[in-house]
Amino acid sequence: MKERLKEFISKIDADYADIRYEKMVNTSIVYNGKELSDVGSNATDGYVIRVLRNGGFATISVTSPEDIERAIVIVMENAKLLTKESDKKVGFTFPPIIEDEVSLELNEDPRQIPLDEKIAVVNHYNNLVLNCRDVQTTLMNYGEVYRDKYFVNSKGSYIHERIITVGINSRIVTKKGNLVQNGRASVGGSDGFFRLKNRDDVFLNKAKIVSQLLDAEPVKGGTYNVVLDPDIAGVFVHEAFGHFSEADLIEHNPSLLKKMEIGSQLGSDILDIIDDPTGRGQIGYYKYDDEGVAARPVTLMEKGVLKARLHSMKTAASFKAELSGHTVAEDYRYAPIIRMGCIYIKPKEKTFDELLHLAGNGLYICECKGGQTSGENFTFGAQYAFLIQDGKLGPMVRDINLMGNLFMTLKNITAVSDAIKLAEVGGCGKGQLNIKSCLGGPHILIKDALIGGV
Amino acid sequence: MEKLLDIAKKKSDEAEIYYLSYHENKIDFENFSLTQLGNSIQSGYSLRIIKDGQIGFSYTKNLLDRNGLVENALSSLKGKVKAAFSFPKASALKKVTVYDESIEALANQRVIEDLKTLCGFMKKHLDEKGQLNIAAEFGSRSIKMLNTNGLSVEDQASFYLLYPNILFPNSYASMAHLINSTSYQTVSEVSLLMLVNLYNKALPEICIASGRLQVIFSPDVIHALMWRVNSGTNAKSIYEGISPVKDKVGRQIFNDKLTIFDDPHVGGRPDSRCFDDEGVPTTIYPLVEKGVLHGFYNNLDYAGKLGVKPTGHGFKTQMWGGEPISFKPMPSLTNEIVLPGDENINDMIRKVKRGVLIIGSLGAHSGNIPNGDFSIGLNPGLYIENGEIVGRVKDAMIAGNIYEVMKNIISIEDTVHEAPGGRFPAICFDDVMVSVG
Repeated sequence: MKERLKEFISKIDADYADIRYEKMVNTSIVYNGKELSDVGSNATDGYVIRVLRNGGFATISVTSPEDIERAIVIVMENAKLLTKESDKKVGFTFPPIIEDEVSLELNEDPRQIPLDEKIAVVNHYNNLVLNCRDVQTTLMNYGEVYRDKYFVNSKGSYIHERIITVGINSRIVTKKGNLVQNGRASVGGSDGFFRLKNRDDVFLNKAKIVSQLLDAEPVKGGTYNVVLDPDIAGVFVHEAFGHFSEADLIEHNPSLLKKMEIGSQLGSDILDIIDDPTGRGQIGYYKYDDEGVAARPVTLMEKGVLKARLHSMKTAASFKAELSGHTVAEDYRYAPIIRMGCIYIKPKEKTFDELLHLAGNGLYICECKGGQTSGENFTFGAQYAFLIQDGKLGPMVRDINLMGNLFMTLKNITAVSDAIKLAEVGGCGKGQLNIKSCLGGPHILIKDALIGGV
Repeated sequence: MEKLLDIAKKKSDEAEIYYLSYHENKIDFENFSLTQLGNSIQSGYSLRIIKDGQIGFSYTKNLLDRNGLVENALSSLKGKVKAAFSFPKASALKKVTVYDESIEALANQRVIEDLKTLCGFMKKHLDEKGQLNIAAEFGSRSIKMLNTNGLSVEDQASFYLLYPNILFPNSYASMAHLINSTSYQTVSEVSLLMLVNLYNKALPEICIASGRLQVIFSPDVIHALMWRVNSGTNAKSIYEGISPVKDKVGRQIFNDKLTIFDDPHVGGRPDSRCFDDEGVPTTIYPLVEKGVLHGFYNNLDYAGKLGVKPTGHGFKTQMWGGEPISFKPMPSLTNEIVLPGDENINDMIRKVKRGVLIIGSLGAHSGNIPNGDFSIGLNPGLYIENGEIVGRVKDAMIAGNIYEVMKNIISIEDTVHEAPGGRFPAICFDDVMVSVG
């Protein structure tokens, strides 16, 4: 493959070109309720070519190798068109030339586990949940994605990296009368099948919570002091802050760029935020991004001060910043864009109980149910919450959606707990779906957060 | 494809091959300037087989090893997934006009020139008060299907999507105009000026108190409600017993002003189809007529499980995109349409003493969708006072349940608009909870 990709690159007359070939093997086992609805393992593949020529930067993805010569003609024409029609010429910051073969380091290679054994594991968790009180149905989804990625660029880099992620993602639905409630429980990671074993507690605990939701009262809309659990603190930092650390999202938005000026005090002085794709085992792990840049941890915020952003080769040149290795594609159908790898708030010294005490009266909000951002405004849903009454946990409430203004909220984070937990499955829908986007954090306390309610 | 079908036929009781190919061009303008050009040329094959009453499935992007693809489908039979259906036979299909061959000759240069003209016009009229982003996508796709029961169908469609949007400061909240067509189109200057006018009215940020208000959902936000309607009327939800309207066919579930249907045959809309991704002929299908629940849409699998006739809604789509050939067909709608009412949008606004016009939503995908609950950020929500838009509401959300809120319809706009998820009019609801930070 290396020689083949080099041959394609040699046909491109440009200042810079790279080509990525990616083969994915997806293994899927899906239970809908009692029924096994999908089992299989399939391979798909494709190529992505990127060209920079005289300040014009264009990309193309193509399935068939027979189409590559046509694709090169199209991408070159588009690069020329961009040179002619763009107001701003594109430049790149180039990484060092790399030649590397990155192998997997696994505790139980999922590819070596017989399909029957995988089905048995998923079936076991599914039956556990189906036998719980009030459970109406389940969606129990085993997903194993093996990526075999080859990268070659015109500077001389060659990288062959293999990544395998594995997880069981479940949706548990309970019903009482006409009221339906649901919640998600997930296990997984990037370092082997062992992560899926002996996890009964995760699924049983969630089934119990989703049952309890049937008797929980809807939350009353309004402003609350809120303690966020590690999952939802991670979603907050991903949605509300992280996306605006992605340089491509603010490069052409002057008003946001001004707000997100490096060196600005944006958060309270207890807030340190880091993105680090290099932690082994977490779902977002990779060594090189899809531009052939080595990933590194980036301290985005320190003591509330904006310190850095996540960059591509293009934005690093535009912002005169260092490369960070955060440019990743969903798969072979897409040119890479800037993505978070694994974002979290750095833990501090307070305990969870101290956070509840500091909140006084408010809400303890747990586990995410989707989030979205739009500039300084963000929103995310939570699976459930507990009232905090005089610093103690009270009854469960449901239908939680939190909305806020990023800049106000960052300053309203008044306490951070001492233990960190990372999510075991990923997911971010910035134009392309990234199932390897990891997040997490400690518990955090936010003063005066807006909760939508009925 | 024929060779593949022959191989599959020899090793199974029934087989079906689905082929999808597409090419697309993407052009992005950000802050009035051309920033990106991208292309994609993609294709792939899916194979389904039925053997001994069980279904097998496999897929590939490059058909290099036909035997391997069949073997892969056979090995998936290990799961013993029951097939509650047979693949359909050939039948007459409605002619649906979705292909304009001129899209094949449409050059990036021409689109860029037109978008530059659009940028110049908007720059002049916005008077440096906002930034304009534009996303354009165009190209064509082709679907071919064969099965061992004699089905042989194909469908070609062209598409041209244009989404100029004016961003509010410090935000990606915007005023937008959507073109979703099978042919190249430009936005009229009248439409652009209306957009600028509304944007200017919405520029002041206004703090209001929380409370229950009249709320107008603009066409661009109706999908947040339809998402919940579609969950409740999906045959999968019925089979699983999680739809709140499972036993309510023929009963009034919404206000009698509301009629919702799926029309796969709308000419000039790229998603229109004469057959679904299982080869079943599509038909116009009412979900709700004058507030009364009509029925549930399905695919072959759930039609079989529920013992009802297929409605032609088996499509290879998923909520967050993904590789279509890797999906099994699931119940999904094509062109969801809400019938227009009898009020002009300006009159609808004029009649609101104190309320909100929602232009965009944040977090429509979160919350308890099966139960019909929604809780969405206003992104933006325009504040209406004494029949006039006076600005946009700062940091606010609305929340409710569709089976309650959609009983309280005050009026429906007399025009349907191209919008995310379908063609919708604006709808005004009474007594919706608005929470403000």
